[in-house]
Amino acid sequence: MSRTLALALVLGAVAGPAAAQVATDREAVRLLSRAESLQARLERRDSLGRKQRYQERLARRFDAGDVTAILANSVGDATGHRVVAGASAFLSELGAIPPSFISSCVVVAYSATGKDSVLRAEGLIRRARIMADALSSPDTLADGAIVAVVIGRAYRESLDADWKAWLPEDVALVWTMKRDGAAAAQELMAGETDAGARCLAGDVARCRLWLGVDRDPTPYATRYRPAEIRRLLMKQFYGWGRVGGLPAECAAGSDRACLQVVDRGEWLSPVPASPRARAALVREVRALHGAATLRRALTDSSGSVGARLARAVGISEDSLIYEWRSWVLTGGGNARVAAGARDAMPALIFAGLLLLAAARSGRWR
Amino acid sequence: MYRQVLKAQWLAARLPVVLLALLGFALPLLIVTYGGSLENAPSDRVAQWLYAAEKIGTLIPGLALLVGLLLGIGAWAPDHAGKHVYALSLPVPRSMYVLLRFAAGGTLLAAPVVALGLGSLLAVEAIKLPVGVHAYPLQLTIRFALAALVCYAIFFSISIATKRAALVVLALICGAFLADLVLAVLSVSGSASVTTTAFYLLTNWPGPLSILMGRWALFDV
Amino acid sequence: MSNAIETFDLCYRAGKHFEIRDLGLKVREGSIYGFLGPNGSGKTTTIRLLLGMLKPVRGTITVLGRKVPEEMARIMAQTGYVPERPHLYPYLTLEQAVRYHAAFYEGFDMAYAGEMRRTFGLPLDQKLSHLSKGEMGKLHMLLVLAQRPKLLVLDEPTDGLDPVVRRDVLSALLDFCSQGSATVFISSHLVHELERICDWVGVLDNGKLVVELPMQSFKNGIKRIRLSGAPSLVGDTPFVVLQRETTGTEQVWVVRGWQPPMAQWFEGVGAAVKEVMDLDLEEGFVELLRSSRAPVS
Repeated sequence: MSRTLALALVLGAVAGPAAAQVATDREAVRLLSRAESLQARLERRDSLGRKQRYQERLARRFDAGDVTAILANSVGDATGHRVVAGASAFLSELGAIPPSFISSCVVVAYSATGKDSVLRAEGLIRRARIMADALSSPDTLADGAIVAVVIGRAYRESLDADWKAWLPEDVALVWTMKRDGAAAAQELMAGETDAGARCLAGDVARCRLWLGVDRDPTPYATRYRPAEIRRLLMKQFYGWGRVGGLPAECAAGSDRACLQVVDRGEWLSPVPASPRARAALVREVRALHGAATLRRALTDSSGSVGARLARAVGISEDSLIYEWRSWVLTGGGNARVAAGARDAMPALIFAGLLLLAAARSGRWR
Repeated sequence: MYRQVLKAQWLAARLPVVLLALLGFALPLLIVTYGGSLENAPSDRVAQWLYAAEKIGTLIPGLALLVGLLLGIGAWAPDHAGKHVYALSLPVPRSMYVLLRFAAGGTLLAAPVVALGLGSLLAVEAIKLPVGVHAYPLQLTIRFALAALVCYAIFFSISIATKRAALVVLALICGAFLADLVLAVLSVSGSASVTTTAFYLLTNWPGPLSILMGRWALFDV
Repeated sequence: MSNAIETFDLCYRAGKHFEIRDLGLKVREGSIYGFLGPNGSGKTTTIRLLLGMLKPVRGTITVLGRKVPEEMARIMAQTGYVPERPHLYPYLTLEQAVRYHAAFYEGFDMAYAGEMRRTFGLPLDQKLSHLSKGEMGKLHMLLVLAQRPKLLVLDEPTDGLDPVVRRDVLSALLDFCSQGSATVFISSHLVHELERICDWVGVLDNGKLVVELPMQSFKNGIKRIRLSGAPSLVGDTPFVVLQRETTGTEQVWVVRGWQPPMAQWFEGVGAAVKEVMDLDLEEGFVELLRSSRAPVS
């Protein structure tokens, strides 16, 4: 009996750990195989993901009017068409850029994969201007403004030096009276410079200086006062006066130093009016004299910017600038608070309809 | 008949009418008071002042809404108190009675409108405007009159509506919000929001509330 | 003679529990019609139906020969209405209220209104919100009588008024009636008051017109009869049995439409009439209502 018990104990002592070991091994094997299948799944998913990402980045052509764009697939059908249609709308609304120029361009998104193949396959490779830009986010692409601006920028680069220096980067493509016209008027009234303040007061010559429409070998000396240069630089660049050298001298009060430092053209625009205010002049010509006039002015390369615009319009420079001033200050010729027949009719009609509804009220039944 | 209804309505609503008229008179003057003297002021001060004028100007459609609310609801308040029994016992057709009430309340609208007009004229006289800045007292007053009329008509109709009509309107509004919720839950992209569309239709020309939108600055470029 | 007010098959439902059904009122021109009924029987509702303030489910209403609600404005031009609860604008003074009311009625008699105001002792410059209940009641009466209407519809005009004011109001009403041939439709639950002035009576109970007959017939026709030996089962009778009670060997019957020769009927069934007692209008009204709610089998 005791021998049997001892044997059982020994066997148990041996078998127990062995059995445990076997169980542990089995568990290990099970875990290993799980890990392996998990890894395989991850690799498969990665591969799928890579494939999907690749598909999304593939380049695709979109057309609307004269506008052609190569965008990534991820943009989607609807958005892609909306973008090119929007760009076409912007360009035709301004009407200043010739259709032949627009159709010579292809706007290409940087992130699109295989764009070269698409360009070749679609026969676009022969187009004169292939412009790459970071056109990837559907949100920023949405209304086509960015695509239109890329084309506008290219057009501006194709013009002569005077236009290149004066025209806003987007060639006034993205502009509304309500937002930009009001801002231009506010800028004029803000009176950051003497030229601007006197332009506001009605001095047309100062308006020309402020807009920078005349050719001027010393634009900073003519269009700005040294004190204005100092103030604008100190306002624009924090700690500018502590840079040392000419900036420090200018900040200390040296007018000569101020003129010298800006003459390099790095710190301050030679034109006091912002690109938006200059865009307002482009828009004024477009609004009052038509797209053809604007096109004519942009293709004119003789004389100052002011002279070209005036020539295209057919009036004197002073008259044109005065016209621009009135147009901007009166919000495009519209009285701001409107109370005409167009506003009154819906109000009166709805008041009448509501009165009719009240008269037929079933409240008393 | 009309004169008596007008008199009765004036007696019921004279306090709010006077208060609203005072407000209407004061708002344009507030713009001028804020601006102070613009003579020889630096040009950037002009821009700030115009900005402030525009902001104060946005109170004017709010005043139109308040005028419409108080006079529209007030037009029926005495009859509501008596459950319309007296009105129903009068020998006038129902629609005629509604017209009388509407006309009487509409006449009382003249007080805040005229007050705003006078305040605007006084404000224009009180300030020397810099070059490039114009005043629009007549346009502002006319627009305010139209806005007040629309608001008055809306609240007048709401005040006389039956419970059932009010429930229908409420159901429509709730339905619009519910539809938006469902669309959002179902992630139906590309579809316009019902409430946004409705708001757009109401507040853009030729919607009934379009008169309340837009710029309301007495002084502007 | 034509009817100033006539309804046919008039039905109206308010909520789940109240209904006016098959109402067929006939108010003769020139009469003073007392519209009796307990609280909640539908008197005010009926009046509002007659004046076009409520829409019936079915039925026709004709007032002063004109259809309701199609010709409501013309009807109200000749109708003076005093509602159950005062409804004039409380912020007006008495004078302003009179002028306001007068503006709507072409034939408004300002002189008569002034005379009545003095009679009632009402202050001209007092705001209506400061008038007492009695003064308000008098004012309402003043306004409707000064209109010189063809029809007066009065919904509990003396409810809540003290006896002196009630007397003044009713006197003014009777004076007015004596001057012309106006029809008066007056509702009340104060039976004894109507007894004095009305020549017709209609009793409404729970939305149903229980009876409509001349006041004299109503008053004289309801009797309490003490008798003995009456049979337990009763067939056709020449009168309407409203109530039967047994006390010992005797029975007490309350009947409507009684006339003295009908005593012979009791003899015919072997009963002996011990006493025939008159009931006043209020007692008769109570018995009538009792019987309409729990008819005698």
